[in-house]
Amino acid sequence: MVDGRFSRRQVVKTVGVGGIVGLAGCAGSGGSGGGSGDGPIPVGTLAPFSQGLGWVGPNAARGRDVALQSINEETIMGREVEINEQDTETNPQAAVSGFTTLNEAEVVAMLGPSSSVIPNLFQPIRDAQLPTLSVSAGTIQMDDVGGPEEYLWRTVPSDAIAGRAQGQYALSQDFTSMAVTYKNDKGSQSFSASVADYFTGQGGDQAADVPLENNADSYRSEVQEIIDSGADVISMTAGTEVSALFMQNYIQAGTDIPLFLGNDVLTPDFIERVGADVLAESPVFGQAPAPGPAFDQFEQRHRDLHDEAPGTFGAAGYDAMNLIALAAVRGGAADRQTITQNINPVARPDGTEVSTFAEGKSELEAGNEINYQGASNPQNFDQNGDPVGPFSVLEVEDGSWVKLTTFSADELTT
Amino acid sequence: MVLDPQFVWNGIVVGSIISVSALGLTLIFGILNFINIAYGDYMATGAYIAFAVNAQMGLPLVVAIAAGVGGMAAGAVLVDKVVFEHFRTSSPVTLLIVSIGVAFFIRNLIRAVWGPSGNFYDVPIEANPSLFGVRYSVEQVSIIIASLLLLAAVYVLLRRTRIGIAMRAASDDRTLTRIRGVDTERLVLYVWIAGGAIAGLGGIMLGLDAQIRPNMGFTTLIPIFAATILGGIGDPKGAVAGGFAIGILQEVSVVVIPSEYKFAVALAALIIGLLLRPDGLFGEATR
Repeated sequence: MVDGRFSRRQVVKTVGVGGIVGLAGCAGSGGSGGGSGDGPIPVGTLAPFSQGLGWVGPNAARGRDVALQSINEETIMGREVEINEQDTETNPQAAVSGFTTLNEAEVVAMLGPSSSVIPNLFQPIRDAQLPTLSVSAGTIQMDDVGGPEEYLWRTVPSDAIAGRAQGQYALSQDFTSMAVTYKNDKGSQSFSASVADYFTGQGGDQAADVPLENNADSYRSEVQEIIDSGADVISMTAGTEVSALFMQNYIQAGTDIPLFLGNDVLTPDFIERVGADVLAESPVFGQAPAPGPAFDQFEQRHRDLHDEAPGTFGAAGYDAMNLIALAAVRGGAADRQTITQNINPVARPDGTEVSTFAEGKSELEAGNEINYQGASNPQNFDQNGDPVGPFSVLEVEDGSWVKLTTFSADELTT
Repeated sequence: MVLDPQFVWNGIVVGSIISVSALGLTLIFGILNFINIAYGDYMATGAYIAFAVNAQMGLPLVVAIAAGVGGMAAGAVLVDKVVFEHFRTSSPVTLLIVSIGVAFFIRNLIRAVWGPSGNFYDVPIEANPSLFGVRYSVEQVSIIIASLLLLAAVYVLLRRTRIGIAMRAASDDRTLTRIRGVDTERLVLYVWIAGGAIAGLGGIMLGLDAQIRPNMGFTTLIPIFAATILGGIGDPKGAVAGGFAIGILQEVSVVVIPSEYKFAVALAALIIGLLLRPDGLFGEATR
């Protein structure tokens, strides 16, 4: 210092040391998350908001926001929740990048992504000890992964359960030979494999296994291959783009072989895209988790907030957000470890049944244990963090998907 | 193993689309001597113009087809004036790289205007009629007839008209043709009009047979290039024969190989063709 002023060298040295110290402070692995203090509690959402599954993220986020509205009115120990949203772009590289961003932002929990990317996050989630509740991953790769030790749950049932519902309905209609066809990606393969495994395990035959390439101009030859296989029922799993083109070629082929669609296209958008009349006249079925105990009140609140009915995975987003908030309330702290240790206890079957954050918070503050009853399903987790619940088989009638029959959780798991 | 005739019919339909598209590509190559990677996106543009007129404005499909074909002919000339004309004396590699940039621009422009999702023309989705066990649609029959008419028209153009003869001459030797008094810049204009119109028609055919997507032309480029090269690049009748060969082989191949590999058939046919007939199917490569 010269005459009370910093020399240029000292300024450079000070800025340099300060910068290194500052960077070192940012380089942590996330630790216990940013839940301490009086500010908003940071919670992450990592979901596909663009590319192939770009419709999933917005649907789930709208459901999450219904829960968030109530949570921020009631508050968690006087604090509101602040959402940090990252787009997986439906690809693993972007998902890992988004996860890193959330981890470095020290979110205390995360609403997690879909089947196509979540296997790439198993290890990062464990390493970061970041409790994650996937709101759309049905992949069977998660069947043996999850629970508090893995920091991983999901609020939608496994594809294996959905596949069983499809297989059971096919067998109940005396179909004995099934062709499976699917978009050639991990999520669709997983679902198709679970359907075929269950169907053949119950004595049915698999007549054909036909992958559908994503950018094909038509699936006419694939449809013909299935027809020629002699199958008496078809299971087709793909997103809207592939399914719409497949449906067009299926209808043009003039076949009357019943067709089961995957979960992803049981939406009003798909009916509008293909045509309500065409779908109603064709032997086309779908299956979806039967609405949970709290679905009706969730649906009403969703309409009040967003002026529209909830889309697919909306209820799962609502349940995941409520479970995270209730876990923090039960544990008395909003950090990663506390939330991890309290997810299962707030969904335990032997507590007082609650279906909203307000009810749950009230019971917990009164010293009672709770059993959260979700909007998408009862959210009773098994040891791997998977919910088990009833499934319905649906068909199109008057422009919407309507229930044909429902299989109970017991029927699907025994 | 029994070959279902439905696969052969499907192959003829796909082959018609590839043939028409390959014809446009090979015409452009013959005169301008570069591989236009943006050609697939010209196809998509034609398809989307027709989609806008048919499904969005509610006009009949015939009007939409005319708009798509005409619009893309004008579009091809516009792209030439704005971009390619400035690289007329550049090497084919430079032009190829420029065309990649044009392709990206057009594809993303389509995405920005019409979105990334697939669309269909406003034609009813219903069970196709059947004849001798083969299901066919009116659109498919129209595609085959239109492609045969177009192929005949291009043959007559190239063989019986002064412009066509000049095109063939320029395809053989552009400098010598210019010395002989032919306005080769005007020929280039005609080629872009014809090539753009054919690309637009190919895209509309593809959209009618399948669906309309921003990358529909790009993903079809491999079989189109394969047909063009298999037939002898620059040779129109070779491109047509190559297109039908690849279309039929591709569709029939699902009988013996998994359908996910059917697109590899185009590449396999290309390799075998180059090994056995390096000058093209009719031995007139680059003419």
